[in-house]
Amino acid sequence: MKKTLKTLVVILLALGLVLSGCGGRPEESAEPATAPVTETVVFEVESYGSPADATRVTNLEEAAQELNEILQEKGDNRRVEVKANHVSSGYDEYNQKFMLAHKTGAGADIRTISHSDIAMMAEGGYILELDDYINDSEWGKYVKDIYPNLWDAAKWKSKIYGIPQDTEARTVYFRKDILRKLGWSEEDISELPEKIEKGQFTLDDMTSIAKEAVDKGFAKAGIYHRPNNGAFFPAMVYNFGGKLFNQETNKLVFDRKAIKDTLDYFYKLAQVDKVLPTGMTSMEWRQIHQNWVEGHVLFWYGGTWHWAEYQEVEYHGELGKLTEDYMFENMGYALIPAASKGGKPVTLSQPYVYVINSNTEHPDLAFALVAISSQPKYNAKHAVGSGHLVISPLAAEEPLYKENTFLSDVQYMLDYTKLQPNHHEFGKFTSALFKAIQSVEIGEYDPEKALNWLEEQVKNDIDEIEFID
Amino acid sequence: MEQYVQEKSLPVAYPKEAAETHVKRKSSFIAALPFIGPFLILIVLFYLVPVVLTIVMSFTGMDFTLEWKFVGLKNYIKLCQDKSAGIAALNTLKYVASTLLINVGFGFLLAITTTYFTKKQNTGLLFQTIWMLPRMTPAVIYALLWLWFLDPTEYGMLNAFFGKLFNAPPRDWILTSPMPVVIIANGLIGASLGMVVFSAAIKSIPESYFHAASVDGATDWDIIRYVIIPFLKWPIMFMTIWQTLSLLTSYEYILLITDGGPLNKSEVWALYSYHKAFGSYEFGYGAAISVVLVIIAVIIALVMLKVFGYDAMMNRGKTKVQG
Repeated sequence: MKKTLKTLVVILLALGLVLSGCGGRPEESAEPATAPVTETVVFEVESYGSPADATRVTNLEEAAQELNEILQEKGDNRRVEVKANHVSSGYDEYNQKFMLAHKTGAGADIRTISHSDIAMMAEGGYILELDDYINDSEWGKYVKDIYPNLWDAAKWKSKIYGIPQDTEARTVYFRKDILRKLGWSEEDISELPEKIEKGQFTLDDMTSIAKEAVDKGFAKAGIYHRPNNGAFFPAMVYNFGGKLFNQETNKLVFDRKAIKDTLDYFYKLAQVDKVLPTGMTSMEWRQIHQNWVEGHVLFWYGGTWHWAEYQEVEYHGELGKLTEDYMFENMGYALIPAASKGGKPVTLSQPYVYVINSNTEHPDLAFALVAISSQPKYNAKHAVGSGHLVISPLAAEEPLYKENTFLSDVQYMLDYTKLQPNHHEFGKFTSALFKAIQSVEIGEYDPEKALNWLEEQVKNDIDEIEFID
Repeated sequence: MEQYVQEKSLPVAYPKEAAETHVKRKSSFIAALPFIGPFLILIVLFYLVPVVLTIVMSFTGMDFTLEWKFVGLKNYIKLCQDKSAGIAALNTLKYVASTLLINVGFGFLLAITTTYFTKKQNTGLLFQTIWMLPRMTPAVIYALLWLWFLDPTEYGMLNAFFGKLFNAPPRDWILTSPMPVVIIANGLIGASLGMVVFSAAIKSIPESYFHAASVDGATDWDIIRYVIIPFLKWPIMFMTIWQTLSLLTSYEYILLITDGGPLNKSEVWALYSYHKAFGSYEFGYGAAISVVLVIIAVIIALVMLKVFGYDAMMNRGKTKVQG
């Protein structure tokens, strides 16, 4: 027995020696003793968006190489490595997962989120305040050029918590082929965006043409909008002159008149003029896109990002992915028309921002990485690939971006854009607003009743809200 | 029963024997521990601890900050004043009662059809497998199929079907009849479990009972009424209690198909709790809603066990041994 044990110990020792020899790092031993030891900092980065938006993280991967070169030149022995994850479904779950991970001291170091979540993330202590890094660090120079209104979107209580990553505009797309059938000349069609910009073509005009197209059988539906809760609906409240936030009191605002006008508008579309399907809010996204790209709908309240999506995803039954030539031939785009003649048209942007986890161990490097990836070359690449708008005038001058006809065409929309309030309870408001709009579209409530229902919901759900008439 | 009463009185009359019995029971418990231990741990970890945590959380105002800020009974007072909670309660009642009817009733019908009326075993098994398909499909896919099937345009499968056959205009099935849609979608899945349980129970009935009934001139209906149903009393009890409790807490298909809409028309209690906790980040309030559900579920389970005579079922074996 003793002999066996002895033999076993000898074998184990020998095996351990052999394995330790195999496990050695020849490259380390080959290095001269004086070579500086580098520390690898691994950043977990995650982003949300359609597959076309993956550049939100791949740009960070590329920027890491540039950052490492700078660090080497500076004699900084740290090197950055990026572990990227891009998520394309379940935005709420994407945030919840991070919030729970954060409480255990983990979570991705750098994330992209909608600017409208800045308030919640900042107030909850999940993300870092970045003013000092922007103003005082050596990396601040990379982000100085970003548009001021995008910085406003990244603020909570006057402090900056995010670096704008991209922006977009909500547009009204129109089918040129249907307008031609209605007798519009090429000149009439090409002038439409300008007429909308000048307030000469209003929402009522849009409804009338939509009705004409449906009545004459040129379109199966006159107007489509998104089927679920989203930033488009607050944009319409803005369009009817509504106010959603009081900056002085930091409270949300329930603007009865503007909300009533908004409800009247959707009620008229679905129940009176019947140009919008009453079941719009139960339609599948894919079906909506298919009907639009196949030319069954005259107007589509979409977004600039859809332009890229239609070239990336096979929605068209016969054509599959659309070519840009086909799209220019058959689709036009404009601001959301003003609610009244001579009024100002509107659009709404929901910029995405990079935020830094407050648990991260190397916040300076995380900021450096984000700042470098905000340079025009990276930002223009993302914008062109995903149908978004760039974050700075310098990026707008990038040849890649300037050559893109669509993005150059819609850049002016940022002059008309509005933002959603950065308030942690705004999500509850939009959720209730969507339900109220749904109720008038399906004819369950008339606008007056829907307004009362909405007011009751909001009083029940939201603590910080003011009511105005 | 007499023996049982005697056993209970033993400790008073014979303390020595009682002590021996106690030791015996203790050692048999220790012997059983390796078998029931893992399940006890699982039950404590995944049932008991979450319930305790939920109860504690329901007294907090936990929100998106995920901090335990104790607020006393505030959430429960809010719940009493919340009109949407009233609507959710009523919807839950309709949903559970109707779906239960399909789960148990239709499940029973499927079991009878595929086991009693279908004489060829393979054919019955084939139909049972087909009915099991929705259960084997991931919830998201199953919900997506329903959304495509009920699409409100003329491209929706159901609308296309009615359009072709009756030239009917497209209908918004989900928006006009949200509750029937979620009941049917859930019922078709739930029925398959009932079918499996009832089929197994029918197959375990000795053949001689069917032969004897046939010799006595019983019709199929008589056999179902006087042979099969009495034998299936306990499986039916099990399925009814099981399905009631799972329906009370189920919401995933409703979330995916109607999301409780339109206007809370298909919002059930469990979904309301989910929406409050994960949609509005009101974790404290959502927990309070869940606690009410736990209490209701326990009461319903106890009432059902009483109604079905659970004690009688558990004592059945003992009576036989004594006899």
